[in-house]
Amino acid sequence: MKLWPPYVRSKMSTEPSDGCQAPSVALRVDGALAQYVVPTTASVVWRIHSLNEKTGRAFAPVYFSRKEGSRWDFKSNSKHPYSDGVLCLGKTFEATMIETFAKKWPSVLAPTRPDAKPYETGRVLTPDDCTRKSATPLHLPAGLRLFDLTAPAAMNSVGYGLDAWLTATKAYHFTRSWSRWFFQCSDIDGLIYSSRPGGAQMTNYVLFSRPGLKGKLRAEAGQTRQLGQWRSLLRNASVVLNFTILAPLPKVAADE
Amino acid sequence: MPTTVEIKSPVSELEKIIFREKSGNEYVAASQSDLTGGYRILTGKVISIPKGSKDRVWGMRLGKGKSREEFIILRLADLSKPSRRFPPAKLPVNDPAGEYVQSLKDAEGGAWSTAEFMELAHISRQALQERRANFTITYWTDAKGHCHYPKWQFDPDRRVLPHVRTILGLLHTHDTLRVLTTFLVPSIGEPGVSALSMIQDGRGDEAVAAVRALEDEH
Repeated sequence: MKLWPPYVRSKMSTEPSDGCQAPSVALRVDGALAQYVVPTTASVVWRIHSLNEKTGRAFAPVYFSRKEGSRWDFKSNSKHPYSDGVLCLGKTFEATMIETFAKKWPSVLAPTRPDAKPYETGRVLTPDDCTRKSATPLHLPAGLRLFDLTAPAAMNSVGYGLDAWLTATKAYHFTRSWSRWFFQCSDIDGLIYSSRPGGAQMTNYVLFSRPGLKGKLRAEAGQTRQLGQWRSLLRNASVVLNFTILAPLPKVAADE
Repeated sequence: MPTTVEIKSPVSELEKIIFREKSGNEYVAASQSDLTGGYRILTGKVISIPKGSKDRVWGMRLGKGKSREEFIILRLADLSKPSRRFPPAKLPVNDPAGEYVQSLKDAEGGAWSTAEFMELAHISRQALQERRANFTITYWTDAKGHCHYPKWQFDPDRRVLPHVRTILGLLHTHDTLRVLTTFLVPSIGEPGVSALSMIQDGRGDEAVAAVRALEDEH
Protein backbone atom coordinates (compact mmCIF):
# COMPACT_ATOMS: atom_id res chain seq x y z
CA MET A 1 0.00 0.00 0.00
CA LYS A 2 0.95 3.57 -0.46
CA LEU A 3 2.59 5.37 2.41
CA TRP A 4 1.16 8.30 4.25
CA PRO A 5 2.20 11.75 3.17
CA PRO A 6 4.06 13.76 5.78
CA TYR A 7 1.66 15.14 8.31
CA VAL A 8 2.08 18.55 9.81
CA ARG A 9 1.12 18.24 13.43
CA SER A 10 0.38 21.36 15.34
CA LYS A 11 2.76 22.10 18.19
CA MET A 12 -0.06 23.77 20.01
CA SER A 13 -2.48 22.09 22.30
CA THR A 14 -5.63 20.76 20.70
CA GLU A 15 -7.43 21.10 24.00
CA PRO A 16 -9.59 24.19 24.24
CA SER A 17 -9.28 26.63 27.09
CA ASP A 18 -11.19 29.75 28.09
CA GLY A 19 -8.58 31.97 26.48
CA CYS A 20 -9.44 30.49 23.10
CA GLN A 21 -12.93 31.92 23.10
CA ALA A 22 -13.51 34.63 20.52
CA PRO A 23 -13.23 38.14 21.93
CA SER A 24 -16.10 40.51 22.52
CA VAL A 25 -17.43 42.56 19.67
CA ALA A 26 -15.42 45.55 20.88
CA LEU A 27 -12.22 44.33 19.27
CA ARG A 28 -12.27 44.92 15.53
CA VAL A 29 -10.14 43.66 12.66
CA ASP A 30 -8.05 46.73 12.31
CA GLY A 31 -4.68 47.97 13.52
CA ALA A 32 -2.26 45.07 13.89
CA LEU A 33 -4.72 42.56 12.50
CA ALA A 34 -5.44 44.59 9.37
CA GLN A 35 -2.04 43.77 7.89
CA TYR A 36 -3.13 40.14 7.55
CA VAL A 37 -6.14 40.98 5.43
CA VAL A 38 -5.20 40.20 1.84
CA PRO A 39 -7.13 40.92 -1.35
CA THR A 40 -7.89 37.98 -3.61
CA THR A 41 -6.90 37.73 -7.22
CA ALA A 42 -9.29 36.16 -9.72
CA SER A 43 -8.69 32.41 -9.69
CA VAL A 44 -10.40 29.06 -10.01
CA VAL A 45 -11.26 27.34 -6.75
CA TRP A 46 -12.98 24.02 -6.13
CA ARG A 47 -15.98 22.85 -4.24
CA ILE A 48 -17.01 19.24 -3.59
CA HIS A 49 -20.64 18.80 -2.65
CA SER A 50 -23.12 16.01 -2.05
CA LEU A 51 -25.99 14.42 -3.87
CA ASN A 52 -29.53 15.30 -2.93
CA GLU A 53 -30.99 11.87 -2.23
CA LYS A 54 -34.54 13.11 -2.83
CA THR A 55 -33.95 14.48 -6.32
CA GLY A 56 -30.98 12.36 -7.36
CA ARG A 57 -29.14 15.52 -8.43
CA ALA A 58 -26.21 17.27 -6.87
CA PHE A 59 -26.88 20.08 -4.42
CA ALA A 60 -26.07 23.56 -5.67
CA PRO A 61 -22.32 24.17 -5.35
CA VAL A 62 -22.76 27.66 -3.91
CA TYR A 63 -24.29 27.10 -0.51
CA PHE A 64 -23.51 29.13 2.58
CA SER A 65 -23.90 26.71 5.45
CA ARG A 66 -25.37 27.77 8.77
CA LYS A 67 -25.85 24.41 10.44
CA GLU A 68 -22.59 23.88 12.33
CA GLY A 69 -21.43 21.05 10.09
CA SER A 70 -17.78 21.97 9.92
CA ARG A 71 -14.98 23.95 11.50
CA TRP A 72 -16.19 27.37 10.51
CA ASP A 73 -19.96 27.37 9.95
CA PHE A 74 -21.56 28.92 12.97
CA LYS A 75 -25.21 28.39 13.64
CA SER A 76 -27.49 31.21 12.69
CA ASN A 77 -30.88 31.91 14.13
CA SER A 78 -31.74 34.24 11.32
CA LYS A 79 -34.37 33.03 8.87
CA HIS A 80 -33.14 35.24 6.10
CA PRO A 81 -31.35 33.04 3.56
CA TYR A 82 -28.61 35.56 2.79
CA SER A 83 -28.06 36.87 6.29
CA ASP A 84 -25.07 34.78 7.28
CA GLY A 85 -23.34 31.49 6.69
CA VAL A 86 -20.03 30.26 5.30
CA LEU A 87 -18.91 28.58 2.10
CA CYS A 88 -15.75 26.44 2.23
CA LEU A 89 -13.67 26.15 -0.92
CA GLY A 90 -10.38 24.51 -1.79
CA LYS A 91 -7.67 26.53 -3.47
CA THR A 92 -6.90 23.42 -5.52
CA PHE A 93 -8.75 20.23 -6.38
CA GLU A 94 -6.45 18.32 -4.03
CA ALA A 95 -7.14 20.71 -1.16
CA THR A 96 -10.88 20.23 -1.43
CA MET A 97 -10.43 16.46 -1.82
CA ILE A 98 -8.49 16.13 1.42
CA GLU A 99 -10.95 18.35 3.27
CA THR A 100 -13.85 16.21 2.09
CA PHE A 101 -12.46 12.71 2.43
CA ALA A 102 -9.79 12.85 5.12
CA LYS A 103 -12.41 12.31 7.81
CA LYS A 104 -13.27 8.97 6.21
CA TRP A 105 -9.67 7.85 6.01
CA PRO A 106 -7.66 6.30 8.83
CA SER A 107 -6.30 8.84 11.24
CA VAL A 108 -2.64 9.63 10.74
CA LEU A 109 -2.31 9.97 14.50
CA ALA A 110 -3.18 6.32 15.08
CA PRO A 111 -0.27 4.18 16.28
CA THR A 112 1.09 2.22 13.35
CA ARG A 113 1.56 -1.49 13.93
CA PRO A 114 3.80 -3.64 11.76
CA ASP A 115 0.92 -6.08 11.29
CA ALA A 116 -1.63 -3.40 10.37
CA LYS A 117 -4.04 -4.51 7.67
CA PRO A 118 -4.23 -2.47 4.46
CA TYR A 119 -7.65 -1.11 5.40
CA GLU A 120 -6.26 0.16 8.71
CA THR A 121 -3.75 2.44 7.02
CA GLY A 122 -4.78 2.90 3.38
CA ARG A 123 -6.85 5.66 1.85
CA VAL A 124 -9.43 4.80 -0.78
CA LEU A 125 -12.27 6.28 -2.79
CA THR A 126 -15.19 3.91 -3.15
CA PRO A 127 -17.65 3.89 -6.08
CA ASP A 128 -20.15 5.79 -3.93
CA ASP A 129 -17.61 8.53 -3.28
CA CYS A 130 -17.19 8.97 -7.03
CA THR A 131 -20.91 9.08 -7.81
CA ARG A 132 -22.53 10.61 -4.74
CA LYS A 133 -20.11 13.51 -4.59
CA SER A 134 -19.81 16.16 -7.24
CA ALA A 135 -17.13 18.72 -7.91
CA THR A 136 -17.57 22.19 -9.35
CA PRO A 137 -14.93 24.75 -10.30
CA LEU A 138 -15.89 28.22 -9.11
CA HIS A 139 -14.40 31.57 -10.02
CA LEU A 140 -13.13 33.40 -6.98
CA PRO A 141 -13.70 37.07 -7.70
CA ALA A 142 -10.81 39.49 -7.43
CA GLY A 143 -10.82 42.05 -4.67
CA LEU A 144 -12.37 40.01 -1.86
CA ARG A 145 -10.71 40.79 1.45
CA LEU A 146 -9.73 37.63 3.31
CA PHE A 147 -8.02 37.29 6.66
CA ASP A 148 -4.95 35.10 6.17
CA LEU A 149 -4.67 32.62 9.02
CA THR A 150 -1.75 30.96 7.21
CA ALA A 151 0.41 34.06 7.67
CA PRO A 152 2.98 33.48 10.40
CA ALA A 153 1.79 34.75 13.73
CA ALA A 154 -1.27 36.52 12.36
CA MET A 155 -3.24 36.05 15.53
CA ASN A 156 -0.18 36.37 17.72
CA SER A 157 -0.08 40.03 16.79
CA VAL A 158 -2.94 40.64 19.17
CA GLY A 159 -1.65 38.19 21.73
CA TYR A 160 -3.85 35.19 21.03
CA GLY A 161 -1.35 32.71 19.64
CA LEU A 162 -4.08 30.82 17.90
CA ASP A 163 -2.84 30.38 14.36
CA ALA A 164 -2.12 26.68 14.44
CA TRP A 165 -4.67 26.00 17.12
CA LEU A 166 -7.57 27.33 15.07
CA THR A 167 -6.87 24.98 12.22
CA ALA A 168 -5.76 22.00 14.31
CA THR A 169 -8.29 21.74 17.08
CA LYS A 170 -11.35 19.57 16.91
CA ALA A 171 -13.13 21.78 19.42
CA TYR A 172 -15.29 23.24 16.70
CA HIS A 173 -17.46 25.31 19.01
CA PHE A 174 -14.41 27.52 19.63
CA THR A 175 -13.40 27.82 16.00
CA ARG A 176 -17.00 28.63 15.06
CA SER A 177 -17.07 31.36 17.68
CA TRP A 178 -14.00 32.88 16.00
CA SER A 179 -15.59 32.56 12.59
CA ARG A 180 -18.72 34.31 13.85
CA TRP A 181 -16.55 37.00 15.38
CA PHE A 182 -14.75 37.64 12.08
CA PHE A 183 -18.11 37.73 10.32
CA GLN A 184 -19.85 40.05 12.72
CA CYS A 185 -17.00 42.31 13.82
CA SER A 186 -15.36 43.10 10.54
CA ASP A 187 -16.12 43.75 6.93
CA ILE A 188 -13.76 41.04 5.65
CA ASP A 189 -15.18 38.55 3.19
CA GLY A 190 -13.68 35.41 4.65
CA LEU A 191 -10.64 33.51 5.88
CA ILE A 192 -7.70 31.72 4.36
CA TYR A 193 -6.60 28.67 6.33
CA SER A 194 -4.46 25.57 6.05
CA SER A 195 -6.11 22.19 5.92
CA ARG A 196 -5.84 20.25 9.18
CA PRO A 197 -5.36 16.83 7.56
CA GLY A 198 -3.54 18.15 4.49
CA GLY A 199 -1.04 20.37 6.25
CA ALA A 200 0.32 23.76 5.31
CA GLN A 201 0.59 23.03 1.59
CA MET A 202 -3.20 22.66 1.26
CA THR A 203 -4.90 26.03 1.44
CA ASN A 204 -8.62 26.58 1.75
CA TYR A 205 -10.95 29.53 1.75
CA VAL A 206 -13.94 30.31 3.90
CA LEU A 207 -16.22 32.89 2.35
CA PHE A 208 -18.83 34.74 4.36
CA SER A 209 -22.22 35.44 2.82
CA ARG A 210 -21.66 39.10 2.08
CA PRO A 211 -24.29 40.84 -0.05
CA GLY A 212 -23.95 40.06 -3.74
CA LEU A 213 -21.29 37.38 -3.32
CA LYS A 214 -23.61 34.41 -3.72
CA GLY A 215 -25.05 35.73 -6.97
CA LYS A 216 -21.60 36.48 -8.35
CA LEU A 217 -20.27 33.02 -7.50
CA ARG A 218 -23.33 31.34 -8.97
CA ALA A 219 -23.20 33.34 -12.17
CA GLU A 220 -19.61 32.34 -12.85
CA ALA A 221 -19.72 28.76 -11.59
CA GLY A 222 -18.28 26.08 -13.84
CA GLN A 223 -20.00 22.86 -14.72
CA THR A 224 -20.95 20.49 -11.91
CA ARG A 225 -19.95 16.90 -12.56
CA GLN A 226 -19.82 13.74 -10.55
CA LEU A 227 -16.43 13.37 -8.92
CA GLY A 228 -15.56 10.32 -11.03
CA GLN A 229 -16.06 12.35 -14.18
CA TRP A 230 -13.05 14.52 -13.33
CA ARG A 231 -10.83 11.62 -14.25
CA SER A 232 -7.44 13.22 -14.78
CA LEU A 233 -7.81 15.56 -11.81
CA LEU A 234 -8.75 12.59 -9.69
CA ARG A 235 -5.75 10.60 -10.86
CA ASN A 236 -3.40 13.48 -10.15
CA ALA A 237 -4.95 13.92 -6.72
CA SER A 238 -4.53 10.21 -6.00
CA VAL A 239 -0.78 10.61 -6.51
CA VAL A 240 -0.49 13.79 -4.46
CA LEU A 241 -2.69 12.59 -1.60
CA ASN A 242 -1.77 8.89 -1.75
CA PHE A 243 -5.18 7.35 -2.15
CA THR A 244 -6.40 4.46 -4.26
CA ILE A 245 -9.49 4.74 -6.44
CA LEU A 246 -11.62 1.61 -6.10
CA ALA A 247 -14.19 2.75 -8.64
CA PRO A 248 -14.19 2.34 -12.40
CA LEU A 249 -13.58 5.73 -13.97
CA PRO A 250 -15.34 6.75 -17.20
CA LYS A 251 -13.57 6.21 -20.52
CA VAL A 252 -14.30 9.75 -21.59
CA ALA A 253 -13.41 12.23 -18.90
CA ALA A 254 -14.85 15.67 -18.41
CA ASP A 255 -11.49 17.26 -17.89
CA GLU A 256 -9.47 15.95 -20.84
CA MET B 1 -9.91 -37.99 -2.97
CA PRO B 2 -13.38 -37.76 -1.45
CA THR B 3 -14.48 -40.86 0.33
CA THR B 4 -17.89 -39.99 1.70
CA VAL B 5 -20.59 -37.89 0.16
CA GLU B 6 -23.78 -37.39 2.02
CA ILE B 7 -26.50 -36.10 -0.28
CA LYS B 8 -28.53 -33.71 1.79
CA SER B 9 -31.47 -33.10 -0.50
CA PRO B 10 -32.84 -34.55 -3.72
CA VAL B 11 -31.59 -32.86 -6.84
CA SER B 12 -33.94 -31.63 -9.52
CA GLU B 13 -33.17 -32.20 -13.19
CA LEU B 14 -33.29 -28.45 -13.75
CA GLU B 15 -30.64 -27.62 -11.23
CA LYS B 16 -27.13 -26.79 -12.23
CA ILE B 17 -24.58 -28.30 -9.89
CA ILE B 18 -21.81 -26.10 -8.63
CA PHE B 19 -18.76 -27.14 -6.65
CA ARG B 20 -17.80 -24.32 -4.39
CA GLU B 21 -14.68 -23.86 -2.37
CA LYS B 22 -15.56 -23.74 1.31
CA SER B 23 -12.19 -23.06 2.84
CA GLY B 24 -8.64 -24.03 2.02
CA ASN B 25 -8.81 -27.31 0.19
CA GLU B 26 -12.39 -28.20 1.04
CA TYR B 27 -15.32 -28.18 -1.33
CA VAL B 28 -19.01 -28.44 -1.00
CA ALA B 29 -21.44 -29.30 -3.79
CA ALA B 30 -24.34 -26.96 -4.24
CA SER B 31 -26.98 -26.30 -6.83
CA GLN B 32 -27.92 -23.21 -8.70
CA SER B 33 -31.59 -23.27 -9.47
CA ASP B 34 -32.52 -19.70 -10.23
CA LEU B 35 -31.14 -16.57 -11.76
CA THR B 36 -30.49 -14.77 -8.53
CA GLY B 37 -27.11 -16.34 -8.04
CA GLY B 38 -28.17 -18.09 -4.87
CA TYR B 39 -27.20 -21.64 -4.00
CA ARG B 40 -28.71 -24.61 -2.27
CA ILE B 41 -26.42 -26.92 -0.41
CA LEU B 42 -26.58 -30.47 -1.75
CA THR B 43 -23.95 -32.20 0.29
CA GLY B 44 -24.17 -32.08 4.01
CA LYS B 45 -20.53 -32.96 4.42
CA VAL B 46 -17.59 -30.94 3.28
CA ILE B 47 -15.38 -32.87 0.96
CA SER B 48 -11.65 -32.62 1.33
CA ILE B 49 -9.84 -32.09 -1.91
CA PRO B 50 -6.06 -32.00 -2.29
CA LYS B 51 -4.48 -28.61 -2.71
CA GLY B 52 -3.76 -27.48 -6.23
CA SER B 53 -7.31 -27.86 -7.42
CA LYS B 54 -8.66 -24.81 -5.63
CA ASP B 55 -9.49 -22.93 -8.73
CA ARG B 56 -11.56 -25.67 -10.24
CA VAL B 57 -15.02 -24.66 -9.26
CA TRP B 58 -17.52 -24.92 -12.05
CA GLY B 59 -21.05 -25.85 -12.87
CA MET B 60 -22.15 -28.61 -15.25
CA ARG B 61 -25.40 -30.12 -16.29
CA LEU B 62 -26.07 -33.78 -15.72
CA GLY B 63 -25.15 -36.17 -18.52
CA LYS B 64 -27.33 -39.09 -19.53
CA GLY B 65 -27.24 -42.41 -17.75
CA LYS B 66 -26.28 -41.16 -14.30
CA SER B 67 -28.27 -40.06 -11.32
CA ARG B 68 -27.63 -36.59 -9.95
CA GLU B 69 -26.17 -38.13 -6.81
CA GLU B 70 -23.72 -40.25 -8.81
CA PHE B 71 -22.79 -37.21 -10.82
CA ILE B 72 -21.92 -35.23 -7.70
CA ILE B 73 -19.72 -38.03 -6.39
CA LEU B 74 -17.95 -38.39 -9.72
CA ARG B 75 -17.35 -34.71 -10.16
CA LEU B 76 -16.03 -34.29 -6.64
CA ALA B 77 -13.62 -37.14 -7.29
CA ASP B 78 -12.63 -35.47 -10.53
CA LEU B 79 -11.67 -32.28 -8.72
CA SER B 80 -8.60 -33.97 -7.31
CA LYS B 81 -7.10 -34.41 -10.80
CA PRO B 82 -5.16 -31.62 -12.49
CA SER B 83 -7.20 -29.61 -14.95
CA ARG B 84 -6.28 -28.20 -18.34
CA ARG B 85 -9.52 -26.37 -18.79
CA PHE B 86 -9.28 -24.39 -15.56
CA PRO B 87 -5.67 -23.39 -14.95
CA PRO B 88 -4.84 -21.94 -11.54
CA ALA B 89 -5.90 -18.33 -11.26
CA LYS B 90 -3.04 -15.86 -11.46
CA LEU B 91 -3.33 -13.13 -8.91
CA PRO B 92 -2.07 -9.74 -10.01
CA VAL B 93 1.29 -8.96 -8.49
CA ASN B 94 1.59 -5.86 -6.33
CA ASP B 95 -2.03 -4.78 -6.66
CA PRO B 96 -2.73 -2.35 -3.80
CA ALA B 97 -6.41 -2.00 -4.66
CA GLY B 98 -6.88 -5.79 -4.70
CA GLU B 99 -4.92 -6.15 -1.48
CA TYR B 100 -7.00 -3.47 0.17
CA VAL B 101 -10.32 -4.98 -0.87
CA GLN B 102 -9.21 -8.46 0.17
CA SER B 103 -8.19 -7.17 3.59
CA LEU B 104 -11.66 -5.68 4.02
CA LYS B 105 -13.29 -8.97 3.06
CA ASP B 106 -11.07 -11.03 5.34
CA ALA B 107 -11.40 -8.68 8.31
CA GLU B 108 -12.52 -9.99 11.70
CA GLY B 109 -12.87 -13.62 10.73
CA GLY B 110 -14.05 -13.31 7.13
CA ALA B 111 -17.54 -13.97 5.84
CA TRP B 112 -20.11 -16.67 5.24
CA SER B 113 -21.38 -17.41 1.77
CA THR B 114 -25.10 -17.24 1.08
CA ALA B 115 -25.43 -21.01 1.26
CA GLU B 116 -23.51 -21.21 4.51
CA PHE B 117 -25.42 -18.43 6.14
CA MET B 118 -28.78 -19.81 5.02
CA GLU B 119 -27.89 -23.04 6.72
CA LEU B 120 -26.47 -21.44 9.85
CA ALA B 121 -29.25 -18.95 10.41
CA HIS B 122 -32.09 -21.10 9.05
CA ILE B 123 -33.15 -18.37 6.71
CA SER B 124 -34.51 -18.56 3.18
CA ARG B 125 -32.77 -17.09 0.17
CA GLN B 126 -35.69 -14.77 -0.41
CA ALA B 127 -35.51 -13.41 3.13
CA LEU B 128 -31.81 -12.83 2.71
CA GLN B 129 -32.36 -11.04 -0.57
CA GLU B 130 -34.98 -8.87 1.12
CA ARG B 131 -32.53 -7.96 3.88
CA ARG B 132 -29.94 -6.93 1.33
CA ALA B 133 -32.50 -4.83 -0.54
CA ASN B 134 -33.67 -3.17 2.68
CA PHE B 135 -30.15 -2.40 3.88
CA THR B 136 -30.47 -4.51 7.02
CA ILE B 137 -27.52 -6.83 6.47
CA THR B 138 -23.90 -6.18 5.53
CA TYR B 139 -22.68 -8.09 2.51
CA TRP B 140 -20.14 -8.00 -0.25
CA THR B 141 -20.11 -9.63 -3.64
CA ASP B 142 -17.29 -11.54 -5.27
CA ALA B 143 -16.22 -11.42 -8.90
CA LYS B 144 -19.01 -13.81 -9.85
CA GLY B 145 -21.66 -11.74 -8.13
CA HIS B 146 -22.08 -14.16 -5.22
CA CYS B 147 -22.94 -12.58 -1.91
CA HIS B 148 -20.95 -13.04 1.30
CA TYR B 149 -21.89 -11.91 4.79
CA PRO B 150 -19.14 -10.66 7.14
CA LYS B 151 -19.13 -12.57 10.41
CA TRP B 152 -18.42 -9.50 12.53
CA GLN B 153 -21.94 -8.11 12.07
CA PHE B 154 -23.71 -10.94 13.88
CA ASP B 155 -24.33 -11.76 17.51
CA PRO B 156 -23.91 -15.37 18.68
CA ASP B 157 -27.50 -16.08 17.56
CA ARG B 158 -26.63 -14.98 14.00
CA ARG B 159 -28.70 -11.85 14.29
CA VAL B 160 -27.37 -8.58 12.93
CA LEU B 161 -26.21 -6.33 15.78
CA PRO B 162 -28.71 -3.47 16.34
CA HIS B 163 -26.13 -0.69 15.92
CA VAL B 164 -24.89 -2.28 12.71
CA ARG B 165 -28.45 -2.23 11.39
CA THR B 166 -28.87 1.42 12.35
CA ILE B 167 -25.67 2.40 10.54
CA LEU B 168 -26.68 0.39 7.48
CA GLY B 169 -29.93 2.35 7.43
CA LEU B 170 -28.00 5.62 7.58
CA LEU B 171 -25.68 4.63 4.76
CA HIS B 172 -28.56 3.35 2.61
CA THR B 173 -26.29 2.15 -0.16
CA HIS B 174 -25.44 -0.97 -2.14
CA ASP B 175 -21.85 0.20 -2.50
CA THR B 176 -20.50 -2.66 -0.42
CA LEU B 177 -17.00 -1.19 -0.29
CA ARG B 178 -18.35 1.97 1.26
CA VAL B 179 -20.26 -0.05 3.84
CA LEU B 180 -17.22 -2.15 4.73
CA THR B 181 -14.91 0.86 4.98
CA THR B 182 -17.43 2.73 7.14
CA PHE B 183 -17.41 -0.09 9.68
CA LEU B 184 -13.80 -1.20 9.51
CA VAL B 185 -11.60 1.79 8.73
CA PRO B 186 -10.33 3.38 11.95
CA SER B 187 -11.55 6.88 11.19
CA ILE B 188 -14.23 7.45 13.80
CA GLY B 189 -13.62 9.47 16.94
CA GLU B 190 -10.20 9.01 18.45
CA PRO B 191 -7.27 7.80 16.30
CA GLY B 192 -7.17 4.10 15.54
CA VAL B 193 -10.81 3.44 16.41
CA SER B 194 -13.33 2.04 13.93
CA ALA B 195 -17.11 2.04 14.12
CA LEU B 196 -17.04 -1.72 14.55
CA SER B 197 -14.58 -1.62 17.44
CA MET B 198 -16.76 0.99 19.14
CA ILE B 199 -19.81 -1.23 18.72
CA GLN B 200 -17.89 -4.22 20.07
CA ASP B 201 -16.77 -2.11 23.06
CA GLY B 202 -20.37 -1.26 23.94
CA ARG B 203 -20.16 2.25 22.49
CA GLY B 204 -22.56 1.61 19.65
CA ASP B 205 -24.53 4.83 20.19
CA GLU B 206 -21.33 6.86 19.80
CA ALA B 207 -20.50 5.01 16.60
CA VAL B 208 -23.99 5.70 15.22
CA ALA B 209 -23.71 9.38 16.13
CA ALA B 210 -20.30 9.66 14.44
CA VAL B 211 -21.52 8.02 11.24
CA ARG B 212 -24.66 10.16 11.27
CA ALA B 213 -22.54 13.32 11.58
CA LEU B 214 -20.49 12.23 8.56
CA GLU B 215 -23.56 11.45 6.50
CA ASP B 216 -25.28 14.72 7.40
CA GLU B 217 -22.50 16.83 5.95
CA HIS B 218 -23.68 18.76 2.95
